Amino acid sequence: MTLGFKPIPRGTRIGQSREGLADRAVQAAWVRYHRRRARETGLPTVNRSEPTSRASLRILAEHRRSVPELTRPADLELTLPARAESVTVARQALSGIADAMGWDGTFLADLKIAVSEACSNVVMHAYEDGDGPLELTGWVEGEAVTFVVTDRGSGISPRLQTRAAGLGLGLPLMAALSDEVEVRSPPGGPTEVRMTFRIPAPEQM
Amino acid sequence: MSAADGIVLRVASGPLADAVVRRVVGAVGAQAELPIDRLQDAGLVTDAILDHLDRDQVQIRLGTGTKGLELAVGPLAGGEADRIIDRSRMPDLGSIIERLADRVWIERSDPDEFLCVEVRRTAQG
Repeated sequence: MTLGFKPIPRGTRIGQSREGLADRAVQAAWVRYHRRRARETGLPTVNRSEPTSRASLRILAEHRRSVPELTRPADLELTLPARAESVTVARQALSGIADAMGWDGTFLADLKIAVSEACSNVVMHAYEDGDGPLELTGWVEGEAVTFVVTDRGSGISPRLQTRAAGLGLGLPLMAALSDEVEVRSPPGGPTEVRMTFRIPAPEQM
Repeated sequence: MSAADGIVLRVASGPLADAVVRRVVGAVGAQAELPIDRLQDAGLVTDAILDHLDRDQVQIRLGTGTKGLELAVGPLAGGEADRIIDRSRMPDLGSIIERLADRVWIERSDPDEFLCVEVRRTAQG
């Protein structure tokens, strides 16, 4: 893990204000994430003064163009109904992989939080008018593990800031906890969030 | 099996399948409100099936029925489901799968078949 949020002071009300701590943390995480991606891909860097939501959408649009198709056969494929209780099942599947691979500690916690965030996004936002599938795919390749969370919804679109929309921390959190995040969301869907984590040495977990 | 539940797990055989399937069966079994002893039975039935499944990849469909947990392993080749049940037989006990599950049946969908088991909240017999 190379990115992270600073500790939040006790008593701070997260999401208290659009100009508040949560918004700054989101923006800072996006900036750090995008600067790293910019070094790797040559894409333009985020302007720190740009509003978070606009920067997020611009980055998303760039990712739509930049992410190649998934072709690697998976070690794990889990298809679930996009319901809240399915996130628990996905987390248990991750725990099972960790059991088999000998992962634990901070690394496992990071995996679970990031993948849970992606799954929760599907549950909350992918299917506004009913049920649909939530797909979790994972594979280990060399010294990295990749998880892909996919839905069959209509893709990510700009939306009004509402209470139901949440804090908007999901994607930045995934970016902060993983070593690489790719979002693929062509118009009309489906949406695919791919997260790659470098597997640390056992003594560093 | 309730089509709405629609949980499908595919995982590479071996230690990965053993660990992941056990965890996922436990989670879905808990959602089916199985008590602890029945969760353990579901885990043992799953282990028995995996022990005798001769494949590179395990595919399991899981769901919560009205009476408990239902799972279907497959697609399997013709006769493979019966072979798995037979191989799980132990002296004086019979098939572990048939002993611990409340219902065992084979769904055939030419040319494949699925080994299906149901573990209820309250054991039958």
